[in-house]
Amino acid sequence: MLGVRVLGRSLLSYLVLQLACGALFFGGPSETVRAVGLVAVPVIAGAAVTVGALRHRLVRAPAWLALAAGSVLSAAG
Amino acid sequence: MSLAPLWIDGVDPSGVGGKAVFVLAYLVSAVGLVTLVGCRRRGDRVAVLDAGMLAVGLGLLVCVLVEPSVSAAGVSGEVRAALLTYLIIDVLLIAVAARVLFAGLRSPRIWLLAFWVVAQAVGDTVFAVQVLHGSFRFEGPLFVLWLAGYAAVGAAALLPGREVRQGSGRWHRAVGPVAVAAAVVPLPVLLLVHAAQGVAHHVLLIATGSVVITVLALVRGLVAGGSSSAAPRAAVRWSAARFTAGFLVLALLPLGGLAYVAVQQSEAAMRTEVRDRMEVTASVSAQYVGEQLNSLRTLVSSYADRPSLVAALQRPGGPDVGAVELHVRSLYAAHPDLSAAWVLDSKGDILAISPAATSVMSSNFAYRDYFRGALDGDGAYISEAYTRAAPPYERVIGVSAAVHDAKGRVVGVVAIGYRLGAFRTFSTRLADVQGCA
Repeated sequence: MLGVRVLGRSLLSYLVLQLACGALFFGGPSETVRAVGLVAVPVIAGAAVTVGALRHRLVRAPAWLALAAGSVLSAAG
Repeated sequence: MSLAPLWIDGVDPSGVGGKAVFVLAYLVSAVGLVTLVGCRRRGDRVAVLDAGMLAVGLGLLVCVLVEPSVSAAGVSGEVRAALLTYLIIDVLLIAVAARVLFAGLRSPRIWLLAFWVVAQAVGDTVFAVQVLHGSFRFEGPLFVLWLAGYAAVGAAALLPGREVRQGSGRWHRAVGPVAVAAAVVPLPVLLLVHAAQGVAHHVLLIATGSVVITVLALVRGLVAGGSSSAAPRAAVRWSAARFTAGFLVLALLPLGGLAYVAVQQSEAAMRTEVRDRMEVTASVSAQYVGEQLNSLRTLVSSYADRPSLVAALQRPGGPDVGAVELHVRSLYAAHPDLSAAWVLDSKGDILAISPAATSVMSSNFAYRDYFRGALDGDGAYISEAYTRAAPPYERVIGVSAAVHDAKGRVVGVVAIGYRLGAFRTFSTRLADVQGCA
């Protein structure tokens, strides 16, 4: 129960963070801030996938890591 | 720091360096998704076939509607290749996600991944259209889709662990066919629209895709019928038969419609072309006839005004038939399409005719339209068509003019018979040249 609650909190924090980054991109005061918001979304997504796969022992972890790599790579592109 | 040189390079229509990394990112993501869901329920061949049909249908729609491979103004071949790659991978990712959903497997994690795939595909399609049309901007709903898709992937991994459930019920079984139908039904419509517009460059592609989908549907029908127990097997067979029949109709309808439209258009085009050519032929023929008749009137009038002919007809003691014959022969030789030339006295008795026709030498032709017309009018008269009294009894138009003496009295009538066949020959030759004989 506690673990579920922790995971739920993690998910909620992640979504809030992503929402904030999205808001930065769409409503940022400067180009720099907007660019940071834009890059942050896929990077944070990749990090979240990595954390979720390793920390919570998801089934087919390598596949999840590939998805994480894809997200981060798209940010690097 | 601007947006373009950074992350956006991969989607920037003018960027080059980022595209390779971006494509690599797509490929890595695709490998991850395939590995993640590709091993589930390996035996569910129906879901695989449904996903295949969906992929072919969506791929065709993207190719036809977005046309990423067609050169557009200001878009380099490299950019088009990148767009095409994005879209192909998107379609494949949708097929992979659809394969899981069609198999009835449901979990929030799968739904989130499916949302990511769909968001990416829709975003990339809109992006491709905007780039090809030169309307791409670094803002708007397009980025909402992309960013929401990435957020969904992370959320899928962070979700509390839940088992994948096997869906059941009618709507679960219907999801696959409905989704496939939604992707396939627009194809025959597009085919008909393209046929109606006379655009042929996508017809072969759509037709080939339709055949592939039909084959997949037939295979699906065979595979779906192979259940183990009797009652479900009958139900599944009936369902498979309906599915297959539906796809056959979908495949045959566009072909029938295409054939109908093609025949209609071909006939309409042919009719229009023939009508145009006939109008030209008729116009030219009418002009030719008018010119010919004018020249004949001039010719006949010139002979009627000849003083020597007037003198021959006025000779005391009766007309000088020998002199009149000379004039008639000369007149007959003046035009190749004349059937005959002759001179009558003021009462309509024939005096001389060339070529010689003894059967009419003692005849009176005062009843003929050309004779009365010559006496009534001032200049040369063109009669209605009639059949000659002398061999070869052909249809001619009479052109005649009265011969007047110095006091204005009629002393005779000069006439020629112009063969109607000459007009027909000209029209036939003209039609041959026009290609509508």
